[in-house]
Amino acid sequence: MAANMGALICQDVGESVKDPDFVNSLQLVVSEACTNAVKHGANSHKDAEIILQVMLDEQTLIITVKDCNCAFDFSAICEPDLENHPENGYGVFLMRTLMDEVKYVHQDGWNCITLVKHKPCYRQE
Amino acid sequence: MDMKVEQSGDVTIVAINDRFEAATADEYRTTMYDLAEKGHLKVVLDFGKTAFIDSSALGSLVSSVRKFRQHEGDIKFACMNEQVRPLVKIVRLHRIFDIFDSVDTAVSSFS
Amino acid sequence: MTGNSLSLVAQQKIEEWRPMKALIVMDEARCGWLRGVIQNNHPGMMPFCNKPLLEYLLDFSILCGCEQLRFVMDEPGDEIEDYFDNGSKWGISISYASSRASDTLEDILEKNSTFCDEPTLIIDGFCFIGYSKNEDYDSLSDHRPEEPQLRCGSGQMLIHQHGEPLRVLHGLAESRLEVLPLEAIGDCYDISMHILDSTSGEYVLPGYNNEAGVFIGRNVTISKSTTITKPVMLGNNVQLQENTVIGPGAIIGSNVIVDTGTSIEKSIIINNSYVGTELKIKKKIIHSTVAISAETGTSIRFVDDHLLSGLKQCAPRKMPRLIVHWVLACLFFVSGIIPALLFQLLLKKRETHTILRHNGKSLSIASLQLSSNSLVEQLARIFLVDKVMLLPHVLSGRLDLVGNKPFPATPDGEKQYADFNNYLPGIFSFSESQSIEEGDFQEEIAERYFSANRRFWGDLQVIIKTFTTRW
Repeated sequence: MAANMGALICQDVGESVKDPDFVNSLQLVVSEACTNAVKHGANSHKDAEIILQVMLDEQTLIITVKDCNCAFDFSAICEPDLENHPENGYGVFLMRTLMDEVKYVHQDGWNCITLVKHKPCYRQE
Repeated sequence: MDMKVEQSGDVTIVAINDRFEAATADEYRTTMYDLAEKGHLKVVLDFGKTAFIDSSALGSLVSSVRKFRQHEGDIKFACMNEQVRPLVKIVRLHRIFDIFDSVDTAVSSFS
Repeated sequence: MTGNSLSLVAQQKIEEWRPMKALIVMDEARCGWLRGVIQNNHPGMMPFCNKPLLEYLLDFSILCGCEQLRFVMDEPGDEIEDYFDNGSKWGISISYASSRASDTLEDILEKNSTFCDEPTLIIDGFCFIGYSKNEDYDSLSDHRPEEPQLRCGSGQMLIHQHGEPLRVLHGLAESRLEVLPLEAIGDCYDISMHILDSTSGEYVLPGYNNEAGVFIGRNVTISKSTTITKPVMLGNNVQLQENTVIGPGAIIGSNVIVDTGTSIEKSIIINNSYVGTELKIKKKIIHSTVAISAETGTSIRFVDDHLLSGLKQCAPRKMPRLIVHWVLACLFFVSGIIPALLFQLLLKKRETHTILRHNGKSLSIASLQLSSNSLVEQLARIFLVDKVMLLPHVLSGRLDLVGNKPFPATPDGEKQYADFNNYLPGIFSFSESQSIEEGDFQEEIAERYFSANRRFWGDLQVIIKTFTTRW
């Protein structure tokens, strides 16, 4: 369901941003953030809330995923070893690779991941 | 998840025709486990109609190929579409999987 | 069979053999050496006369009649897909595939069997194809055992035809066609210089070429006192400052600044480089902080302040400059604080960021984000409200009034800081006053140039230019 939310949001975004690669990567990172929030956050309660906020203006898309849980050390999440390929740990790496900025804060008991993507510019040669 | 499993000689072709993500990765793991149990250790994954793939799927792919190779088997990729190929490239899975642009050639590569 | 029927059959045979597809295979084992010399993009994007190697191979494939092309690499680079995309710019369809390091050419053909179902031209390895756009390669795939094979130590050209064994192609009589090895940086240099000196007419090269031996890109600024001697090639967004001497035999890439008094002869300046003042560059390849000797292949890392340097230095902050900045900041603050507070009440768009100071320590600043086109935000931009709100940091001595665009206090920002000589963050920045787009690589070049050329009057100009640009 978390990933489907990403697909729905990206459908709307895709109508204004005509770049299929951009929309595909957006769908993926939203899915990753939501999946992580469900899997690791939300205090493992089945009925816990996860908040998904989307802001889109002329230049930037900002997506925030919030779950109510204890803080964690986001900066300590290191890149997976792509020579030896672990069996997990690719989610945050993909977010960092595909988005322009990935920020984490813990506020008022909520973990907030903010994903920022600047609109692709079409260069004319 | 819409997964079709068919045999071509001693090679099993598993077509993933839907979203391959956290919610559906368990189904993939179960299918691969069953195949391994039955001794079907030569598998071609057909990504021709895969609509979406995420990191959970990548993790399952890595763990399944490790297990298969431990038992002298292998998993090969075929028909990676543009939903799958960029992701496989980012996490460099092309270094550990053989990737074919046709299911038939992937199947015949086992012999 | 009559003569006409024979020629029809012959014509058909040629068309059957004419490769409709091209497979370009570049494995890390043969091209990876270049990454150790020029640490930047994929070796396939190495520029030869400001055009990537892979684009020459693509052009040649199109000359041979190919309509579809596939790049196969075991270390694929995003920059290749970003540059070539789906090939629509060249009227050809481009696709991409990955291989494993252990794959042989036969394995690669097997893995791309669907693509290679028609006669396929294969360019395998890390090599340059010498060809001419004026020649005809229709009969390339014919058997010509009397001609030398098109192969070299690091690459080869082959034809793949279903049902036939893979075959290395032979050259054409009285043709420029050849396969040249790329095994050392000297090979890249020699080929580039040869193209510039003698064979530029055989290729489609970038730049405006109204005069033989001179290629000039877009947005090139040439000082009146610059001397240019052909053959010379300038990329896009190049600045040649006063009294520079360019050529003969100078290939300057895109986004390059050549500072005052420098001469460049028989040398290549690769994209995104800043070349400092009063230097004599001869028979070198310059890339970022490194100069590579074309003759010996050895690399020299420049530690001179005026060239880009990999060494981190904490910039000394000169007292007279600080005093002037402080006085100016006071004046701006006194005149602008009340309107700025009013705007801030209306906009309510303050965000907190953490940036790096000149000494590498973090500083948290609350700034106004004026990104939309509403009237209020436009007015706020014009009256430099976002700058006024940061003036207290200048008054307290934490930031300069005019300086470099601050780096964020993130791992990436710290890497940039470590690599940047004389970093002095300010609230007015040089690249902003030049209207250089944020994130554009030219921004970094401009900031480095500014750092090496700080003057008092230059600072005033930055403030005035920022104001006039926003108007």
